[in-house]
Amino acid sequence: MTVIYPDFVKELYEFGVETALECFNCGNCTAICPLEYDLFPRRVIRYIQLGLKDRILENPDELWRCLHCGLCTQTCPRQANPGELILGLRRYVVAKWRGK
Amino acid sequence: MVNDRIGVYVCHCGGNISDVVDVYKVVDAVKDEPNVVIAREMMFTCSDPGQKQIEDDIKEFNLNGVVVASCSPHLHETTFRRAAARAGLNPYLLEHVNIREHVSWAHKHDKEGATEKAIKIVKSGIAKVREARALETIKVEMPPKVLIVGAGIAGIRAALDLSKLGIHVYLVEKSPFVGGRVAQSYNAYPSGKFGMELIEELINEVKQQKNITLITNAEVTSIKGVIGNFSVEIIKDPRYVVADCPRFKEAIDKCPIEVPNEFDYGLTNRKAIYYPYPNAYPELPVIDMESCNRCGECVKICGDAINLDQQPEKMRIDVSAIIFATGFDPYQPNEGEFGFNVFESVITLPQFERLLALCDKKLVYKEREIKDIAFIYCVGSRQREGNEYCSRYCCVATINSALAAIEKFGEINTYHIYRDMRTYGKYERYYEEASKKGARFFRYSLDEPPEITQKGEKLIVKVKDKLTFNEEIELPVDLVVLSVGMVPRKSEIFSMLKVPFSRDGFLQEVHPKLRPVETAIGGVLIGGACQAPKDSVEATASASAAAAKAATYLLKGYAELEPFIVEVNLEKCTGCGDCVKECPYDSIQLKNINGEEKAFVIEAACRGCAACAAVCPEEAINLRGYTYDQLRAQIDAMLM
Repeated sequence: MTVIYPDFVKELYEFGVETALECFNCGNCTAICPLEYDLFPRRVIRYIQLGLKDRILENPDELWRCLHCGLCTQTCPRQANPGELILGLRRYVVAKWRGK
Repeated sequence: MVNDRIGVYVCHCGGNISDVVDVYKVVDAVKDEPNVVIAREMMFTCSDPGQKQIEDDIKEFNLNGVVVASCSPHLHETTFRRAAARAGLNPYLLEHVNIREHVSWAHKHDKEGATEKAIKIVKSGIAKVREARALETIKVEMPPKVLIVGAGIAGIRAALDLSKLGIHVYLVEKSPFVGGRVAQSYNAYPSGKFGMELIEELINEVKQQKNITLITNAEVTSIKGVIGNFSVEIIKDPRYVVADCPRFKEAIDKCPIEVPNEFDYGLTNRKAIYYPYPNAYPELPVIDMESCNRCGECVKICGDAINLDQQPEKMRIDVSAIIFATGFDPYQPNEGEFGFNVFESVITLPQFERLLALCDKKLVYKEREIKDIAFIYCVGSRQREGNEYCSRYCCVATINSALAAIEKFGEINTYHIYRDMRTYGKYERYYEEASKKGARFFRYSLDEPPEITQKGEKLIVKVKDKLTFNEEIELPVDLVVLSVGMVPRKSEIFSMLKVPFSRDGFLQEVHPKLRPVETAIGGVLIGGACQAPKDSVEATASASAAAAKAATYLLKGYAELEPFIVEVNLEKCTGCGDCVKECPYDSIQLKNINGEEKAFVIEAACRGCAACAAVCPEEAINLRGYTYDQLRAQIDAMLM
């Protein structure tokens, strides 16, 4: 069971994650992603929207799989900028570990 | 007497007919039939030269019957009947038979057989025309008076439109005040104006009109008659406030009774003498006798303006046409449906809109400030059992109210739990804006609806979210708003008039595109959400359409009806009354004619179904234009 935490979106602003709520969950980013890895990056963007921090920190490695090729950002119909969101999340995860 | 000078025209329709049917052979086969004086084949009978040829022939040969064999009568019967009329022939002496859809298109692979069939059809047309009688359209006088039932936004809109055309309107409203559901709404999309403001603007216009008689607190109890002549009975319940008084406010304050205010769905209380909301119209308050204890405090203040012994008043009015603008009811969730009536913080969208209107600065419900709201969509809509239809307006209305809440009360988390999001057309921007304002969307399926439980002060909405890969998400919220659809209103007057219902229980139009505001009952029109779920934009548009439609009869002063109705042969009729029982429109009755009971047809009410003719044991009833003699002659011609 997972409880929503809407304020997470705001916590991510300082890491440059600002466009997550633009996403309307169409899945184009996952369809175009050359990694063809699970539901990357759509899944992790949905977790940002709902503030499911634990889900993100459970499996942070996947963020470093991204090649930053930019295809998702080009394809996104909502200018949610998925590539940039992934980069921001990396910064968040690193900061989180430093904090520990 | 038979029509003994008949002209026959067989059409090529370019090649649509003549590529399959040998039209020359058809002409040959019928030109020597008894009473046929001229038979021609024509390339395009519907063309100007084609019509001209028929007109010239009617004049030259003094024709008293015409058969055109071409396309479907749906397409060109009127065209040819008009041509006949221009040449001075009664248009109902022209028979249009179909040798295209029924012959050439249907039998492409059998040219000989098609030609033979065409010959038989044309011969049967000739046989029918031989027995045809000149008919006249039925003219019904239409005094310019209309009844509109329901003074919500649709009824008021239609009343204004008709009044401005000089047509008198009786606007009858069941409740003591006008405005209906729109007055209750918070800020009706897309204008963003408050529902009350919209009604107020329209009412200010109504006040300028001389042709509108507004009758509130009144119910239509009976409607009899037909287009052009409806007789309507109305019972006006007592208001108990009979004249104006400058001290109503004092009287209301003094009233010791407090009961929940229906207008606010019980969110506020009102007195027994009350206005449902400030600026309600009419300006006289009303006394609700069910809760009044007749203490007389208000009478002490307002004196003769209040009469606690006022009696209901019966009224009778005559009108030519009726517009139903009776609106809808919001769907009322069942006990326990998404926690409704189980948890006090589960409310419906209309209640939420009243809450938005009533709260100031802070959004407070049951003395608790609301910070997180879950909206559950499609409640009572799109079900397998129950309401199958989509009410369409609720998606936009819900998002609109969520935006309004954020705008009025600042930071509020809104969670939107939908099945399908239908912010169609230009309302897409509401969805966009909600996303921008931080709304979170969740998608559930009909089989796994969200569950509501209480946990401390909060309600927990548990949703199996399709957008989160079917993971279960918990949403702790202060308020759950059920986005309910519209359900049709029931009324006995609908069955009194036999107005047909659609599958969903709303009033049904004749055809959604071709005759969108008329019912199958002549002179009975529909506007607004009594026809189907509609938002206020669509409701007023259809109301204006109904008004325009009513005006098309009323400004002319009469309506013209097709002459295909039944007639009684008084010599054959034995007065058995079988026909009376059979008639679905109450348009045939027994009447004493020269001392004998005979069937009598009310011409304006007869719709020509001929159910009476079918059951008459004496063959005393005939349908004009399709008499037994004509039908028998047609069959004989086919069999020869």
